[in-house]
Amino acid sequence: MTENIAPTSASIGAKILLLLVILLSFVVVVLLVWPVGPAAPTWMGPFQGDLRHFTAVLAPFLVIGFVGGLIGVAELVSTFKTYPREALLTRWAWVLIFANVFAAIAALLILRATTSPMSFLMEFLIVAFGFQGIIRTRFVLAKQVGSDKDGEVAVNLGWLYDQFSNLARRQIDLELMNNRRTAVTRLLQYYPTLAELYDIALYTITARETLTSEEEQEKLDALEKLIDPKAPEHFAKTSIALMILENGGQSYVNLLLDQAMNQPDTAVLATAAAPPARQDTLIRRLVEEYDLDGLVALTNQLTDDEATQNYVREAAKPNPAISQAEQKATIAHFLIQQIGADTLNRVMDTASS
Amino acid sequence: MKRFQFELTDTETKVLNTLASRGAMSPSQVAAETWILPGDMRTMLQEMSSAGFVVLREDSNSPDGWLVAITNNARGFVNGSNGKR
Repeated sequence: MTENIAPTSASIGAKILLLLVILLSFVVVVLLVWPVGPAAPTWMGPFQGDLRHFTAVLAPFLVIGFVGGLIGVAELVSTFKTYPREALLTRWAWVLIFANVFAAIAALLILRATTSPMSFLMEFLIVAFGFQGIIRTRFVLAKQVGSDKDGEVAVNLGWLYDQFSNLARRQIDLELMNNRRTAVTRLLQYYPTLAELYDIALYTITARETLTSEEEQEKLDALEKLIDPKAPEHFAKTSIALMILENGGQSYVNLLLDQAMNQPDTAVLATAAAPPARQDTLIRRLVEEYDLDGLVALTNQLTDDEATQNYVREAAKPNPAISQAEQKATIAHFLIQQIGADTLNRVMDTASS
Repeated sequence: MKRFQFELTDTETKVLNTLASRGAMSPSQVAAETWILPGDMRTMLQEMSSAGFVVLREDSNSPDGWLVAITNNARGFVNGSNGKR
């Protein structure tokens, strides 16, 4: 599987983390590990003093920035409940998180510039809770009785943040939409039958550990509605593929696609119930290349077992209630079970050559 | 859980058990699994579909053009639990 959701965003995050680790290690090494003694260079003492002072100045901003980032992450996770991991991997998610980090740092700077000195705990409470709350709150000063938002007199102190946040969320949603569409299309490409998709969706729902019985039942009922005979086939397949993605997540879909791509002979591994893809091909060959009498003759040629011969003979008798394709498909499935796919493949290959 | 006004024969129970354990499949595959003749299978599945035990729908990818799956209520009925597989 070569598809990656947002390699640039992920690598930016990793680089920033690495840079922070290096900076922190540098501070720890210089302040704690490096001894200041007679053997130390003369500049070491003042340098350590400067670094200590710099760290003391920087630390509150780092803490406030970290909290701002965490609030940004929490906002995204609560907005994109179905795909939190995928949402966090998008480019705009990082833009929104860093906007929160810088906004929190800017709030602390403004607070320090405009008020008299106070303890860091007070600053932390004001910026981490007060400021974050204010930019996400709309104060309604007056409200017309019985009216909706149009009749309100309100002050939205976080209007700018609202606009930016809405833009980011819209962009993330569009990016996720593209990824979802790609995942669904690929699932349909590698798992083309309704039976395969249905079984995978069923397995995906029942295998989830965190669902309550009610949630699981709700999802199973939704799945059953999707295979309703009235639903068009393509709609049913697309909806079930989307359901697999929503319940299993992008990584699970990637795993399914990896399995299907790397092991084309045994495409369906998500559930042991589904038949290998090559059996479908064999059944189609048997249905297309033999008539009913031919299948009876083939059975008699391949086995002496009377029960098997009798079943095939009875199944091949003309029956106006069903189509010949149904009769032949039943016999083909039956022969694969009783005689084996390898033997049948060999016999058919010999006959056609 | 829905109560079924339908008494299942041994063969019908066998069909439901097959669908509960093997997942959705074509009617021809169910017939082959259970040694039921294709004509009898079609009639049986139509009756079971009317009674709400199975969903029977068209499937262009299936060799016989049909797909059959056990309903959630019937799965609960077979397993003795509500919808648990």
